[in-house]
Amino acid sequence: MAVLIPDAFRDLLDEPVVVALVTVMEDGQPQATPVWADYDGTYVRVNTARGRQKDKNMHKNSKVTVLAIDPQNTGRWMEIRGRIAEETEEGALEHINALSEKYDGEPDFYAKNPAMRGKQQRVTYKIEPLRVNTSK
Amino acid sequence: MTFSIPDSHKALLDGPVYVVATTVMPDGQPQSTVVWWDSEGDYVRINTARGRQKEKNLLDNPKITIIAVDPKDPYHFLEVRGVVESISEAGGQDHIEKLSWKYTGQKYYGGFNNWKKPEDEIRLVVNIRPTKIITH
Repeated sequence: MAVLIPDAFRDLLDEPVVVALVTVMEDGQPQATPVWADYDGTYVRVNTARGRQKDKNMHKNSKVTVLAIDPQNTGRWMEIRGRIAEETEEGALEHINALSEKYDGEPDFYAKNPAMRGKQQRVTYKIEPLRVNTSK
Repeated sequence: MTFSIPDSHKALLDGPVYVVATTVMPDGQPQSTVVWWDSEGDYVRINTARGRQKEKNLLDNPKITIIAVDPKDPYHFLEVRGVVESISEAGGQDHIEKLSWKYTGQKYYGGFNNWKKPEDEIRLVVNIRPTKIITH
């Protein structure tokens, strides 16, 4: 059962805050990367390309954690522990374009990565929040 | 020193950059919090207090991953994957004071942390041996 992101911390997902996405490697070691994210009211969504380490990890192990720090106030942050509820290639290109617009003001993600256009399969991962911890 | 960080990323460890440290819960879920860090000899170090979830997790599973993201440029980051080699009470209090000066420019007890006294908790130095360093 998904828990809701508290209203008082939704800005950390609604604003263009780069968050840390933590997945787990096959040997149990956490793997962390900065990513773009958004929130559809139920799921926290991230986007990656097929074959990347985090894609492999999330595909095999649904346990992931997202940590978002307020860039204006590092003492204010939110940890979202969750599980992958769905991974989908459908709409994933539109999703990365929407994230690109949100974070970079560029509605065409590949405008800044022309060499990669048409060469990547994008994937959207929907994370169901199971527990949310906040600070300040 | 058995690990090395490229000059381009040293400020992410040596400067007052708030980092995300992830341990693994007994059920395999990553647990992430925002912490201070520094390095000493062969180790990168964080500080916690006895009984916290991080310490419990690390006693069961010494794998830990820390990501430091440049607050001015989220695409510039340093990920350190490692294992905890020791969790030490000795020096724990000096270490939190040192970190507090580094990050806040003031002492910890009676300064940055004015709601607790040293006798209220047992501070611990967590010595982490890096096994993999990723820079971007």
